[in-house]
Amino acid sequence: MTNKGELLFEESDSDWDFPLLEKIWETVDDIGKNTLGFDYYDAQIEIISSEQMIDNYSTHALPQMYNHWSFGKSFVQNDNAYKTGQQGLAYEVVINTNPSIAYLMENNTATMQALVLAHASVGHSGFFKTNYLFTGWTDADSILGYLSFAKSYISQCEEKHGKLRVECLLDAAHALQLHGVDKYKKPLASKKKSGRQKHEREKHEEESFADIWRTASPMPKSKPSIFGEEDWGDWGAEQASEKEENLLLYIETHSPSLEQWERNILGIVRKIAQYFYPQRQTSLMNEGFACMSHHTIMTEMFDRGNISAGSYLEFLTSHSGVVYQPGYDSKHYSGINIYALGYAMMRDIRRMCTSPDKEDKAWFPEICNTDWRETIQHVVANYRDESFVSQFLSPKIIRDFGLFTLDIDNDLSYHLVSATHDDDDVHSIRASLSGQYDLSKRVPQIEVRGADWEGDRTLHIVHTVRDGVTLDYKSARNVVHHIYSLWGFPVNLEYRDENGIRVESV
Amino acid sequence: MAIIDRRKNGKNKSADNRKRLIDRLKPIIKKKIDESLGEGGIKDATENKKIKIPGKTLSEPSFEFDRKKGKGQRVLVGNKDKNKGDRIDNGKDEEGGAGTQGSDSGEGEDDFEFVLSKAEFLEMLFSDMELPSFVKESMKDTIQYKLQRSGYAKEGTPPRLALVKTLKQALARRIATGSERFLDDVDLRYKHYVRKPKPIRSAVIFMMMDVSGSMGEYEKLLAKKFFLLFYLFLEKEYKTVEIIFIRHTQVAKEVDENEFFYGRATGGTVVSSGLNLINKIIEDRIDENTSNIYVAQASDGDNFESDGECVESLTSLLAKVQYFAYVQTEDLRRRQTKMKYDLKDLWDTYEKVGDKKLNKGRLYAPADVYPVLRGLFKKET
Repeated sequence: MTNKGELLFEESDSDWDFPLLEKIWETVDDIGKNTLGFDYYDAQIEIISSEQMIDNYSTHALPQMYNHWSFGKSFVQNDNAYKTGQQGLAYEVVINTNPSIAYLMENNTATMQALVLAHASVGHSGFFKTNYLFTGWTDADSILGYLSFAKSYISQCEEKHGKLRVECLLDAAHALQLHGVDKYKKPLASKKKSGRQKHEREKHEEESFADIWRTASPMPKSKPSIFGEEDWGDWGAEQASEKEENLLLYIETHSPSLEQWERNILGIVRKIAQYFYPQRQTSLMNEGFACMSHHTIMTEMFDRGNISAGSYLEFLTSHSGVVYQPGYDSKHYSGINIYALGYAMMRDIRRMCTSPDKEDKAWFPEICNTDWRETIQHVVANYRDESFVSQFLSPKIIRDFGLFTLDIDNDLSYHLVSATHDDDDVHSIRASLSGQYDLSKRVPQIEVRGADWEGDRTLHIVHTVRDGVTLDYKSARNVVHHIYSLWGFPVNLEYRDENGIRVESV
Repeated sequence: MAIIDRRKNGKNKSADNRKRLIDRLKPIIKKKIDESLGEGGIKDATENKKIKIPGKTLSEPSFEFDRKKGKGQRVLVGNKDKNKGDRIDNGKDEEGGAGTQGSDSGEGEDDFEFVLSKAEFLEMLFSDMELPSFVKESMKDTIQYKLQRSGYAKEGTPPRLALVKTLKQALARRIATGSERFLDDVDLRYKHYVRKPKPIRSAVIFMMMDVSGSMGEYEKLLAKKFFLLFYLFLEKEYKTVEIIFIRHTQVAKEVDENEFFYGRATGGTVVSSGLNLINKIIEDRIDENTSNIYVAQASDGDNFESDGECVESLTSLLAKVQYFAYVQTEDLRRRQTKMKYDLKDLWDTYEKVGDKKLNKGRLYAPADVYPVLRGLFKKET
């Protein structure tokens, strides 16, 4: 372990080498664990080149992702953007696995490596390990094994049934992946917490694939063999007529026209979508917590004398760039910067814990004068962006950010300012901003309402229209076409208002 | 904690996905290539190619809100002077500021640009072309071997153990000797393999170009473009071909690649001189039984009336080759003159020969070169 006061490297723009990187991590880890008391996965640090970073981007940083043209498209787009200078590359990417894999860019300076390790391998990794959405809905232990199983299964399907059929199937599945998640029922039993033995995890990989199929698939009763199709259980036997929000799951289990392997592939897409679902609901908090981690750890390293003043300055420059928030009337404005707001809110909570003022005591009596580490960990563990904002957005942050609400009505020629930083408006702004992070409001609400099993097997899909916002016709038509290709019989999409009254048939 | 240096893993992880993308865009890219080959020089063909793809061909649809309808709310940052009840004009600019939420539906229909590498471009150009009837096999210059099963051996490596045979041997031994020993070393039998040379297919390609005085600069250009593209095709798709270049006027001459494309000699036109030279080269140097022989000829169609040998030479040559491709370069203005004086041209002569191996195409403009070449060497499906 590093001695307190040992300067790890001299200059601010120092290069790093592997022994130094190891020492940096030891110091970061020591502060993360012992000084801050955060709980995070073991770190696996992987050094990559910029080309590999672009590769990473194209498959959501997942190694062993199955192959599909859309990842090639995203690769070419990122590659173009990078090479023409329109887009810089991230310093790191971290994924929700155990151990937590952090990809670090080779050309980061030593200071930046310290920063990104504190940010990713302590901050994000801690978020993944402790937040309830991740612990309950994703399985960081087996995702990599599952992905490599999925990849080989899909490539076998390609050999057996032709690349084109698999491609069309994946096209259709991808169009529905935002509607392939269980929002309310937990897909995974929380057995992970109930102490699955370590040696069990290290069992033969294929067993863990099978394990996932068994726990996460809706119906297979017997243990599926990976390559045979006979053992997948009796799918499609149940005919639900009740509402189902998981479109992909409904089609996977009920489509009258899919073959078994096609259902299995829909299941793969669905499970990967489910794996990402918590990230989509927690990006504000996740980045906020990671920024707080890196800021606290880097400052501690400076205080201990592990990094020089020059390095600390280099860090601060980078940090302030990350949390920069231009105003709505600036040409650089592109919405709320989740790093800025997330970090500010986390820091605000810490401030209220350690030195609350009168206003804080009025608004947040329960967290004032508590141990800030414990309070932050409690917040990280138990909230998602939507509830985080509605619970912890303080009048001070609203003032600091100059938050205000615009009411938008497409029938009018103006937007109306409906709330500002007035004390009276705090609840209103919280509600509006919280709604902005509510995934169920950002993604159209689509449900299956059963199928005409007695008749022509028409599949009935309903979009619940809120505030008069209907679907974009063209994209909806294309998606319905994809659904039709999976269902094999007519598909009927209709709009209903929040009371269930039919608005129009599309 | 583990630190892993992944840089050694290489950067081509996306190569497969990229190839799938290109496969998906094949029809569009091909059309663009046809167009661009017409416009630019052949030289472009050997350089990296930028292709622009309309965004909508690659759209990945999902259910999206129609942002122009209904009502909504947006929380913004950086209020300075706005009070409750103020109105903000919702002109386009504001909309951009206000409606930034739709970032996940972004990308959308933007045009999509990417650069095909030279290899990808050539792959795209030639993927559905082949040398027809490429069937003759040769043992000459054989370098590849394949392993072939050949009975059993008493010695071998464990993976090659022939289990059933070994157990049969053991059973026979136990019966014959009354031994109790279930398995003995002498029972072991291994699958035996021998290395057999793998015959390879090789081809000889004759490229014959008319460079007589009647070939104008434009026609020579067309012919050269044709041969260059043909050459690229052979270079890309066939490893074991020998190319023989022939230029002819009233006499024919075997030349090297450089002189073939850049030489300046010129003169009258006797087509049979070229055909005869090919016949002679085949007789002198080439094993007809094992070599696949191809001829590609380009000419403006003029031939001296006195060339009586032409048909005879051609017939004799056709008997030896797998395939004969003839392209006639046509300058439309000169064609009218020819029609006026009712001059016979080579096209008609060849037409009369009417051999299945003989295939023809006309080049009027650079844009014809690629389609004609593709037509002449289209893969049989």
